Amino acid sequence: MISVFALQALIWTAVIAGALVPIVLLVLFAIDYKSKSIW
Amino acid sequence: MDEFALDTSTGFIIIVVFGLAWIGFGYYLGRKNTTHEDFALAGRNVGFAFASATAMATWVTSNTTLVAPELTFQFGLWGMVGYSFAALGLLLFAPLSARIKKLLPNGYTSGDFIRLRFGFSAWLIFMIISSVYALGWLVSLGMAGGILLQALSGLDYHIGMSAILFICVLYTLFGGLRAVIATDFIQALIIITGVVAIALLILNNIGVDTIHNNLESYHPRLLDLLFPAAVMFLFNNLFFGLGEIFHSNVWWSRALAFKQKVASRAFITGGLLWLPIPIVTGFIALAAPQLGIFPSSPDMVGPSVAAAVLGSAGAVVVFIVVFSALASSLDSLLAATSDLVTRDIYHKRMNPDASDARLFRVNRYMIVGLGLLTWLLCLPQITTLAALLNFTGAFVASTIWPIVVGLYHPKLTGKTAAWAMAAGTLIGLVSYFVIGFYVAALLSCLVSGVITGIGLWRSSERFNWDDLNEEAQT
Repeated sequence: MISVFALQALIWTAVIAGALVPIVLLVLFAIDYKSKSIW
Repeated sequence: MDEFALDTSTGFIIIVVFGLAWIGFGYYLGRKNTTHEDFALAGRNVGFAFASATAMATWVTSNTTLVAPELTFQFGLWGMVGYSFAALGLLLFAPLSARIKKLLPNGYTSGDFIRLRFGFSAWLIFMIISSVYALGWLVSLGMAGGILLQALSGLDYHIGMSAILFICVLYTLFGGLRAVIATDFIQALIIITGVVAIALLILNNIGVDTIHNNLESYHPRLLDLLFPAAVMFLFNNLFFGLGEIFHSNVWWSRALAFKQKVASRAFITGGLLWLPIPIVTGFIALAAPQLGIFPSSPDMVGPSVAAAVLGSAGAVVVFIVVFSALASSLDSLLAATSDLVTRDIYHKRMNPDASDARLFRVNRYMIVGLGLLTWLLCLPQITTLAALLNFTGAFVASTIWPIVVGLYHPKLTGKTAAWAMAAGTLIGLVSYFVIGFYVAALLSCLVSGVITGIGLWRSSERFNWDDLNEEAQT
């Protein structure tokens, strides 16, 4: 059975990683936009 | 779903507002499409940001937002952790996408590869498999649209299903793959922001330690890491996912549409970005027993918990997330399947001399035709979503080995590939009906792999890779 600590670590890691996704996508878009390579 | 505060008119307004936005955006982007290549493959020039976002968003379907909580509710931890293994499909497709781009610089579809690499018999079997899968997925998405919008807001099934199909058909029709990819980028932002916001609010309201204590006392099985039924299901799911991505033109058309050096990196990034999503959406279900939520339909456990904890605001966010997840997959499937029919059947079989303008027009007719066919098949609500999707697992898993080996090894013959796909599908179907849905993809892949291996061992042929570059040949 998984411990409380392991469950907390798993869920918080996933939530923080998920929260970073929109930021990563927007940064990638800004880089593409700046170098005029969106399309 | 009486516990949802979202009334029908709010649901309808959200659909109209988002629908008009997607259609308008599709129309705006479609103005740049001047050739069939522009329309079908976005000019083969998609940059890294859009490429990564579309890889991630297309793989986020209604399943990711609803079935991940459902599996967590049924199988516990393995439900959400195992579901996130489906990211492997995107990660493993990364090297294949670079190879596809190199071998078929002028290719349009996955059918092009099968036809040129393996010949007519294998192409025919592959097209049957692709059609069953594409129609199965299209119908399951259309039905999911109607069922979910009805469950979340009380909107009539037929209105919800028709609305989501109509919106996706219209903006794909106007903008082609360019519109599909650009809307995927925005839909990806909406989906992930929505699910993370819901997860944070639930964590703030309930807390992991409270959830753990409750489960430990009353549902210890859900915290068990050695849950045999869950492990069996997950292996089957893994091969199903690989088969879906490796064979489907949804992913091949993306590989061909991305810029030369972007394809492989984009699929790796898309896979990594996708990885945490099933855990973020799935863990919500672990709070259900604590809240006394035991929905009659297990796939509604995620929305039920979100609504119970967050009230009407939660229901609105869930509605928008589900709507975006459905649209991001439906548009991709419409575009990719219409490309397959236009290129592989109309252009290569019926009218080889068709002009570019003619192909452009036919591709659009195909989008409308597919939308109409999907709508007709969705009308009677013939089967459950899970049954429909699992049925296609028997088909797609048989393509994994012929495609992977066919892309890298010159000794694999068309005859072997055809036998591997046909026998794998047949055994997969038999096991689906005789044993159960949870082994169909697994056995299909196994049989196809054994035949591919034997064929490779006995073969003395050498395929000339240059034959795949059709335009250079002519």
